[in-house]
Amino acid sequence: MDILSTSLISFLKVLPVLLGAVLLSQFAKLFIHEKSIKKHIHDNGRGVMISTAVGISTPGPLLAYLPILKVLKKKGVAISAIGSFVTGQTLIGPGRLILEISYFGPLFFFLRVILAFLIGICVGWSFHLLNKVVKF
Amino acid sequence: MKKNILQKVMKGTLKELKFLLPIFFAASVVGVLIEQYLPASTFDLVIGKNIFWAIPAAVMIGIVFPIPRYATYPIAFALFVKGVGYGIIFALISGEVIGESIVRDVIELKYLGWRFFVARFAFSIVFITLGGYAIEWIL
Repeated sequence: MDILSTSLISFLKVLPVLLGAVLLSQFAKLFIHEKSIKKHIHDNGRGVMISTAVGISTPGPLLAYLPILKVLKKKGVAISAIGSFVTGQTLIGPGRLILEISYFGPLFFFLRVILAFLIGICVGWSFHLLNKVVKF
Repeated sequence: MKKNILQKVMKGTLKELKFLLPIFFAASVVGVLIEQYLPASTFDLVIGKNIFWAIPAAVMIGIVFPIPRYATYPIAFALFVKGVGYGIIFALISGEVIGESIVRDVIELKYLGWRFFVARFAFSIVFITLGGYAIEWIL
């Protein structure tokens, strides 16, 4: 009983933050369109950086972007750009901002965004190298 | 128009909350259980001492445990309160998000192929681990 009441207090403390995070991601989902994502994923070295950044800034679950990524892959978008987009998209999302800052502070979130960007680039670069020996 | 946008946002929010709230509450219970019943020394033994092994282990725990979106935070915070370092928190959260759910993994496999799926996981594990070491060193 004590655990349940403590859990409920802990849950209620975070509930407004969670609500804000979900609302923010729903707004972003409406205002960031598939067309703009397509526009930013290019087949070049700079594309890896841009696709990571676009991935980081896109809201919602990866599930929603998988169909368009399949189309882009078929149309010849580099696997490195797809890899870095997926990495950036999964690692950070606008909905996490409020929640993560409230738990671990702005510095931790800022560092996580920087590292997510670097990790996305490294993953994209690794895909670029692996693509020379493995057909994706 | 504005009414239509608000309706869409509210509908989407309610749908998301309907899925998230029970899971988030369950995660809060797990967080409280960890906070109350697991002594700090347990974490010293498991992940507190050797950061070199603890960070990749945290990435793997994040991937393997079926924790849904946002629900890692109460658990990670409970670990943080127990004295677990930022590098492990980073590794746990990042590990959780790269392998979010079995449903998503299956769909990713279907859409982008098994080679892409395996390579993405392998690269992510390596670079998140390195990121964990970096954040542990910085903070």
